[in-house]
Amino acid sequence: MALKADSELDPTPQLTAKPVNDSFTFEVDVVDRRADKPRVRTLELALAPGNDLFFPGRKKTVEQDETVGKDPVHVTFKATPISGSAADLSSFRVTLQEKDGADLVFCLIRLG
Amino acid sequence: MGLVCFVATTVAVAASAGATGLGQESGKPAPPPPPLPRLTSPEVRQDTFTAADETAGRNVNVSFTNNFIADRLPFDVPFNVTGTVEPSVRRLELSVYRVSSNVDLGNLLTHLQTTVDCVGQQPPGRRVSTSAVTPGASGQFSMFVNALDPQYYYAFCFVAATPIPTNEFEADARRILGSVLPGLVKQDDVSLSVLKVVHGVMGDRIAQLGAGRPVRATIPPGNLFAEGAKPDARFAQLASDLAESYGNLATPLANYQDSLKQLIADVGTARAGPAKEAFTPELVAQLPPASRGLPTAEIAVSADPRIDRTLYSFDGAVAQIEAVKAKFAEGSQAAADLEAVIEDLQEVAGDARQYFRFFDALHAAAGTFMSYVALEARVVNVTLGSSVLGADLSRSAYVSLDAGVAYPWRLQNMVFYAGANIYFRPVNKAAPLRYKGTFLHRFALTVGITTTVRDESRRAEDLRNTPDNDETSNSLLLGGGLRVTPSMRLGGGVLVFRETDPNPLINQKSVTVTPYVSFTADVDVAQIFRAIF
Repeated sequence: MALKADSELDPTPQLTAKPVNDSFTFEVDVVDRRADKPRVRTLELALAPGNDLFFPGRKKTVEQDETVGKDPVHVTFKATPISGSAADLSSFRVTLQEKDGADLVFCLIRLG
Repeated sequence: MGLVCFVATTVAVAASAGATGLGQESGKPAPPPPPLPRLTSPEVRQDTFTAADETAGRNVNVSFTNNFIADRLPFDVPFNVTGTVEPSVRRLELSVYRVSSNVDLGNLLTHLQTTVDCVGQQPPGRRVSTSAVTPGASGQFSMFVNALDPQYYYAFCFVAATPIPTNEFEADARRILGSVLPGLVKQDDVSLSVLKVVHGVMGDRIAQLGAGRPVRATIPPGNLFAEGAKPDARFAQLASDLAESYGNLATPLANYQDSLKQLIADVGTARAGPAKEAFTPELVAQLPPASRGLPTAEIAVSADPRIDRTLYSFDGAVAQIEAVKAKFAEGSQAAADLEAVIEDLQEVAGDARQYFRFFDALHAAAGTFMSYVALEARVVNVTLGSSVLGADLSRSAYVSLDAGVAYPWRLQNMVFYAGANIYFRPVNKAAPLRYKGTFLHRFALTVGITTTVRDESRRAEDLRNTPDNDETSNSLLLGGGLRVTPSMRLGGGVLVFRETDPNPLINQKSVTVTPYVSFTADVDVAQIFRAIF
């Protein structure tokens, strides 16, 4: 029962300023081609542990439940705030993963 | 003529020394030099100076074939160096060096000819002018040269920069990109320090690529990877695109390998079970072998990653298995075996599709990288010139005639005088003083002869009286002056005249002096002499 990304992880906006204090929308298609029937999966967006960027509540992850089956499902993480100085960064990584599972796909958001 | 001989000899010696050095170094005959962009120009003009030749903006034609400028160079005024280069030359740079002795000139020549930028490290001469120009469509150029000082030798060092076609270094540049990609994804984020390091490594390796070419090439100034350039927003975007696409290859690659392994296993199971007849040679030919891997990241960054994408699409095989599966009872072992193979094929195809999304993105980013990479061949050509006043001796640049009025202190009348101004350096009257107006450009000693000095109150007489003292006689003027305009001068000094003793009982005359101030006009002696002779 392997959940997989079936597209790029597409953030909006793709460029933000320092210090970071912005809301981002993330879109991605996910699929589990071996699933007998659709079932609820918990998806996570994760920020890299080594930087000072956080989701609200100084969390490094945000979760969202989605029902996923054999056919690709379009998933949207709406208006997700991220903040932090990101002083020494050129781009920061946001990774999509299944909760307690492997990384599915990641994107890099440019810092202007 | 003497200067021409000297210069020609210097060039010959320098060229000879360079050839000898190369031969000794290699220990075998030097290979024939590669074809270089040829620099051509009209023949140089002879030394025919006119007033126009000394004015600012004069054109000095350069002969790259003779490697010297026969005309004496204008001094104290800016001028233009003109000529023609091959149309392939996109940029021409000029550095003008000044040297004061023949030994310096030889050292400078030898040094400049070993550089690619007419600078190198510590050139043995003073760089007095630099300019760069994009030649016209037919190769013609005109380059500005700052005002030069007289009585010096000058080396005009040209760098003809010719872009190298991208296809001549593209494969190497893409290999450089491929080699630095792992460094971009060592950390989760792309830090500024990683960005700087990767940018520096790319720049260094591209520079090495140019240095290793038969005709040495360098990264053009202003290029993203030019020496001293910092990673800008373009490079940050490029690095982000490269890291994202390259880093995202790993997950679908691992998924693909797992899926393929599962497919091979499930096909084996199915072929050993009740559905074995479904696997006709035609169907088996459509199934991927265990060895069918995905193209690597190195292939993605190559110029033409020809990949047959149909090898990773199994719609035909799936349809064929579906058709066979329909013949078996639902829930049977045969149907289950075939269903597993169908799922595996769809999984392999899906993983490959996801992989190729980032493969294509990486290829596009590599294309962006290539659009930033540029090299240009740089051919150095040194041409010599001189501002030394040589054979044209009729041109007395140090002396000019002076004519004006002087007011002697405590005498009753002004006197007119004519004299000579002696400068301590050559003077170009056409040079605006606001541009070249140092003390030595303005100052001259004055020696003059006055008209008759008459002053009864001081019983003054001229130094040289005429027999009856009725005609014009002369006294001597000694002093100095400063030019306030190119031809107008304010001066001062002493008037030397004879004075009768104030005691009426003493009929004795003595030579005496009195200060004066003057206002005069400079006249160019050389022009007058040329007009006469």
